[in-house]
Amino acid sequence: MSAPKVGNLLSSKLDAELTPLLTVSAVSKAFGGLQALSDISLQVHAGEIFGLIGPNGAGKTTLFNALTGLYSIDRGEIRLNDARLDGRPPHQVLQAGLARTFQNIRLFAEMTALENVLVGRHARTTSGVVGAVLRLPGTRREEADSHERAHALLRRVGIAQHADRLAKNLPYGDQRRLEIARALATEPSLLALDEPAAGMNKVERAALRELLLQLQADGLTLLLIEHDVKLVMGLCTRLAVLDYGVKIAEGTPDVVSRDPKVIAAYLGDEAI
Amino acid sequence: MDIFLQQLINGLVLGSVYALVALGYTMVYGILELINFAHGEITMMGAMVALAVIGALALAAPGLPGVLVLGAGLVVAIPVCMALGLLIERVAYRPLRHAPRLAPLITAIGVSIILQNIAMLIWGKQYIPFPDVLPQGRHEVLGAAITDVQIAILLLTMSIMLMLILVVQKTRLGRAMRATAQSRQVASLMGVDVNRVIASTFVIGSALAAVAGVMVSAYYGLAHYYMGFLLGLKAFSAAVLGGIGNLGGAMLGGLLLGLIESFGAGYIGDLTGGFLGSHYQDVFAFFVLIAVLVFRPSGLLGARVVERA
Repeated sequence: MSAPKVGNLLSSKLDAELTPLLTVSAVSKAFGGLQALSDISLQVHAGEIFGLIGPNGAGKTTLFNALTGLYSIDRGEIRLNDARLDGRPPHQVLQAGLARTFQNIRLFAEMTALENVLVGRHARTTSGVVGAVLRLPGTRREEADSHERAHALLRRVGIAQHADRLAKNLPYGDQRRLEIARALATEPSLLALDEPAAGMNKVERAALRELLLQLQADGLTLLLIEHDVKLVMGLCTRLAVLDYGVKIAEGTPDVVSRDPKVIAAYLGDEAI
Repeated sequence: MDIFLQQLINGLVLGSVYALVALGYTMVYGILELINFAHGEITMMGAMVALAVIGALALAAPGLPGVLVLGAGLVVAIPVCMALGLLIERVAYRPLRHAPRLAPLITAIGVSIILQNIAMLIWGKQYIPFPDVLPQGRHEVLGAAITDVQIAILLLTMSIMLMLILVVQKTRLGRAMRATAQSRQVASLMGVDVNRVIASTFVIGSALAAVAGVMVSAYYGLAHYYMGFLLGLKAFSAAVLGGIGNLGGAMLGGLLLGLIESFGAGYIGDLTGGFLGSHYQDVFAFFVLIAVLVFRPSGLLGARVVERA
């Protein structure tokens, strides 16, 4: 390989890493007297796996809820690419390209695995009842396409065999996978995962890690809340650490894990 | 035997109309856990509007075939009721989405009184006879009689219910409705515009109510501004009987209630030695409802408990 080409590759890689996908600027949120988020700013770059860690009650899930439109924020700004997300209802945030999973699994329990993923297609499809009743070709094509994509996603996360089982009857680890498949069906540019490894055994964790790396390789950007420090440190390109609603550190896993504030707040208790 | 078969036919016809109205109650309850007490009045409005159209057509073009005139009545009544359902949801329920549960219940009763009064102002207090346009054919089946109108009601209601099941089970909107019923919050986080889905639910329920209103007035041969009250109450009871929130339950409950009423009316005189007449059929229906609910508080097919209503 000639030198210029390597240089090009390098610079294009650097450019890609520095394209901000999600920009959180000075976001604050209080519940009554409790300041759940104070002045949080961070940037997630396209293509990275960004970890959000911190002790219980640090405000990680609150930040997720604020990002996805579930909570309104008191101050600050949230942008995905150039689109403003704050102040918009959840379905519009999702439409803009930010999808999530939940810390406590929240599937549509009484629907099949396939149907759960098909609900994820809702935002990317348009057909109405009239088309369905009259069996118009456009509607049928869209429905067939949705089914095909949904089956492909179930295969992708490794639960194709469960397609027609009710979500509530799936094994625990597979329910977590199904949540990821459902979120992927919405064609997000940023996927936010709230403790995806919670309650998983060693084998399931390894498989999850593989899946997340594959997703990253496919160009998806991931925002990850996780308690499993080993998983986070091995997986994330960068991390932000929250404590009592304040961001106390940000950087590569190496830098963060040596930060005395982080060690005091978090790693000191739990890493060992 | 012929009385039995006759009551069976009458009961199924009546029950299928109850089922159609009950579906409207149960769909809204399934998604919002709200009892839309104005639903009976939407049924009444459907009947009134259709009758106005049918009456005008019968006067203007007396030669038209009955099926066509009836169809014209439906074609006008259905969109009117859909618009009404949409308006009621927007004005009386959506602003109270996060209010205490009693508030939308009160507005529901308010809306139903308003609709009754509007109907009374437009069409008066008297019973309005169904214009003489319908085919009057009667067919003998094993000693019982079934009329053309009854056949039409059965065919129409059954095909509408089948269509509804397919829409809810197999389409994009149906999946969004079921997802919203299970969790409004998660559905919206997955990209479902929940307000739109709720509005669609009201619109679909109101369309069913319009058809039911026209059918019931064609069956009894009259309409009245107050007809929505008892019809709504019975359909609501049918929904509760089957298990409110459950589509199959509403259909089963409606058919059962129709059959109970019909058989009650047919046999209550014999059973009580002539002490109670067939006009006690309403009492009979509600008595059975109470008895069922004592033993199965969540209804026959109800999985979810009716905890707050």
